[in-house]
Order: sequence, then structure tokens, then C-alpha cells
Amino acid sequence: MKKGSGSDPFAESEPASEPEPDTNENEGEDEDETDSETEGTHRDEPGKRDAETNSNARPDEDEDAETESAELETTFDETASTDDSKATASGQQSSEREASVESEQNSSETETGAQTQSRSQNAIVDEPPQAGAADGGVPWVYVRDNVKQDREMVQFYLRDYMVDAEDEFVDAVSDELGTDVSKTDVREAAYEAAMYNVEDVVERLEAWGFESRD
Amino acid sequence: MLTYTTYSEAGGVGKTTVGAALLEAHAAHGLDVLAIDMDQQNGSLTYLLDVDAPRDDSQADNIVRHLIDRPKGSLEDLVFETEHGFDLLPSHNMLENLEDLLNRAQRMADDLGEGDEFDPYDRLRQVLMDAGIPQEYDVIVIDPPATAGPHLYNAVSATRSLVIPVEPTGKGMQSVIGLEELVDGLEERLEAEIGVLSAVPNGVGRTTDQERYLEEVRERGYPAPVALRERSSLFEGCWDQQCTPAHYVETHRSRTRDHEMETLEKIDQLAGRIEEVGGL
Repeated sequence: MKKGSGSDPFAESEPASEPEPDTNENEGEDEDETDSETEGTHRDEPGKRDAETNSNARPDEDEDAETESAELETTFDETASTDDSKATASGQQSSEREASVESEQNSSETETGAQTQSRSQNAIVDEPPQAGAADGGVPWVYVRDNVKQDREMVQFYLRDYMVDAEDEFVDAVSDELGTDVSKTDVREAAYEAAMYNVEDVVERLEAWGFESRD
Repeated sequence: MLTYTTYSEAGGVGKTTVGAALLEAHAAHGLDVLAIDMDQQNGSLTYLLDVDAPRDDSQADNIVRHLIDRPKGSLEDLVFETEHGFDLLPSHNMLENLEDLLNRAQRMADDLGEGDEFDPYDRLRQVLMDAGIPQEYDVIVIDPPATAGPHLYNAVSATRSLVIPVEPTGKGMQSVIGLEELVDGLEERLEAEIGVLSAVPNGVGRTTDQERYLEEVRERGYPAPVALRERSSLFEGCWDQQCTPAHYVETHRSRTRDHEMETLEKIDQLAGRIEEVGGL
């Protein structure tokens, strides 16, 4: 330290070093990508559509993440194969997943392009507004002022077992994401994820007793 | 040129009000002055100066968009002319997320192989330089929030000098003692030499106490040309009327009060002394 003025900040000099930001790196990032990444492991019927999930939702994954996803699904197999709702099972694996969060997050940015491509092929739902280009790349969670901004209220009727599972679902998603996320955000992300997995939704409906007319 | 950050560890010591008074004094000395508000709180310089900037319009261009390399226009277009003779680059709500946004921008730069050129704590300096701002002004003063974090680091990295309002209480003096540590930490982190242009004991009760506090601060090795007496009526009036102290006295006081004039004179002296120490 020095009495008087410090060095001249605008004299052309060596650029300052790059200190490691000491913050939670995962906080709030890549909501969409992370959501869709978790969707495969959260909802896929274990063993049934591994191949399909991997080729559809995660086309461009690097090797590390792929190994992880295989591991995760194995874990899922053990913990969730008998659980119909799936929502409650995810909490049990969060500790195993924690280690993988970082590398998944890292790979998520490079995946974006490919993911967008695979999405648009079977798109029921459009790309989320303000996902990037329209707002100079600033993600939606940063430009909105509150969680209800731009959202319409929609009534949802849920049976008790689903309502009961919701909090645990939100916790599990928060754990994996590495930051707290509101139920409102999780609900929309889950619903959006479902729109990319029509078959999964159909299976559930069939299990509830809906039958094909043919 | 003169650049400094108004810094105080504790809130509520009149950092922003003293800062506004100094800005006004520099301008009155005929200097071209730019204030940069890096404080995301509502009670910031932007509010005090009653600058009508779109701080909650997330679509509008703002300082943060420039810091994360996603500008929507030129930086100069963000600068407001205040009615007090100096310019202001106003605050924006997006500053609340500055840390996350910088981390994200850093990762994107890394992915593009440009990570080495992106320093999240040196962005403000970079952005100001790129926009040619230093050539436009004689004085740049940055008002960051009191908490340590990317706002403060960016401010200090862009100014390298500090002016430190201090509360002359036991706690306030304690924070002066802790200052050396803080400045050392900043120097290490930013790899730059940080100077203290002045410490300003603010809110001193009796005149006899003023000298004592000044002595104490000077003994610690900080320049401290003046101590300001307790002026809550004047300072709160500024916030009520949203203006600088000199403006308040001139416009909103029906008669001049000697003690307030004395405070304004001291601030003027302080500004002059800072200019001198800063090499203007």
C-alpha cells in the first residue's frame, strides 16, 4: 500500500492477473441445457431406452460425460426401477451425482448447438424466448426481475403422491444444478423436458390405463 | 488524470454523499468529471443524483452488458449529464448478478480460447479504455457497494486509488486498522499498486474529537486533510431532495447556516487536496 495515488490504471501495462473467482460456478447457469441433460436420467425407464436417449438428447457429449450418464443410469436402475413416479428417486442419487455435476456443466456449453439441432427436428415446443440471440446471450434468469415475470398462471391438477414428491424433486434438481431453483422454474423445465419425450409421457398414461383405440 | 474509488467497509458512513460532494467540488474546480455508479442498491449515487436511468429495464443497454462483453450500444451513450456539472454512468439492476454473469462470460471466453484475455476483475478498466473514456475526463470516481466482491475489485482495478470515509467510532477506527490488510489483499489480487489518497473521518461529534481522530488516522499513515463533523441534517436533506450537498444548501435552505458552509468548504479543501495528491 502506498500513501497518495496508486499506479496509473490507464497506462498501458501488463494486464492484471486472473484471480480465480471464488464463487459457486454452477450457480444459475445453463438452465435449459442442464434441464434437458437431466431429463434423460430422471425420466427414462431404466434399461429400456438407453440407446435412444443417448443418441437423441445427448448427441455430442464428450467421453467423460457419457461415462457418467451411463453410471447415473445404472444407479437409477437400482434405486428407481420400481418407482413409478420417478420423482422421488432422484434425491437418493444426488450424492453420487455431485461429483459429476461440474463436468456435465462444462460440457453443456459446447453441447448447445447440437442440442438445439436435435430439438428442432422433433420440436413440439419452440426454443424458449430470450434463450440467447434476442438478448445478446444474457440468459433469461439474469434478465428477469422475478420468477413470475413473463409467465402465465396455469392451473395444474395433481394427485397427492405427485404433490408429495414435488419438494423432493425440486431439491434433487437443485442439488444437481448446484444452486437453489424455485419450484416454478423446475415445473416449467420439467414440463418442457416432457415435451421432448412424448413416448415417456405416453407410457405413463398407458400405465394409468389409457388404451389405444386400435 | 485522477481516478479513485470511494470505499468504506462499513455502510452508512456517508460514502455516497461525501462522494457526491467531492464530485461536485472537482467539477467546480473546472475539471471534467465522470462518476461511475457500481452500487446495485437502490440508495446509490444514481438515486441521489436523481438520474432517470432505466435501471430495471433488463432489455436496455447498461454497464453490466459491457462488462460481460454483450453491449447493445456504445458506452458513451450510457453516460448521463447531471445537473451538478459532472457526468454519471448510472447503476443498473443487472449489477446484482454481476458475479454470476462475469463467471459465465469467463467460461464463454475460455470456450472460445480467449480466456487469457478475460479478467473478470479487470473488466471495467478494460471497457473504459476501449471506449476512450480516460481521454475524455480529468477525474473518474467510482462508487462501489461496501461489500467485497467483483464490483469493488473492478472499481479498484480501474482506479488504483482510494478515498475512504471513516466512521470515527471504535468500530470505524477498527476498520481503518483492517484497511492495510484489505489494500494488501487487493494489491495481490489485482497485481497493481493501490494508493490511499485520503481517509475522511466523517460524522465527528465535537471539534476536540476531530483532531484526535485525524491524528489517529494520520498515525496509521493515511493522508487525512479534513474531518467532517456530524451533518445528518444536511446529508439526509440531500437524500430527501435527491441532490448534492452544495446544491441542497443553495436551493433548499432558506438561509445559510455557518456550520454547513464550513462543511462544504472542508469538502472543497479535501477535493483540492485529493487533486493535488493525485497529481492534477
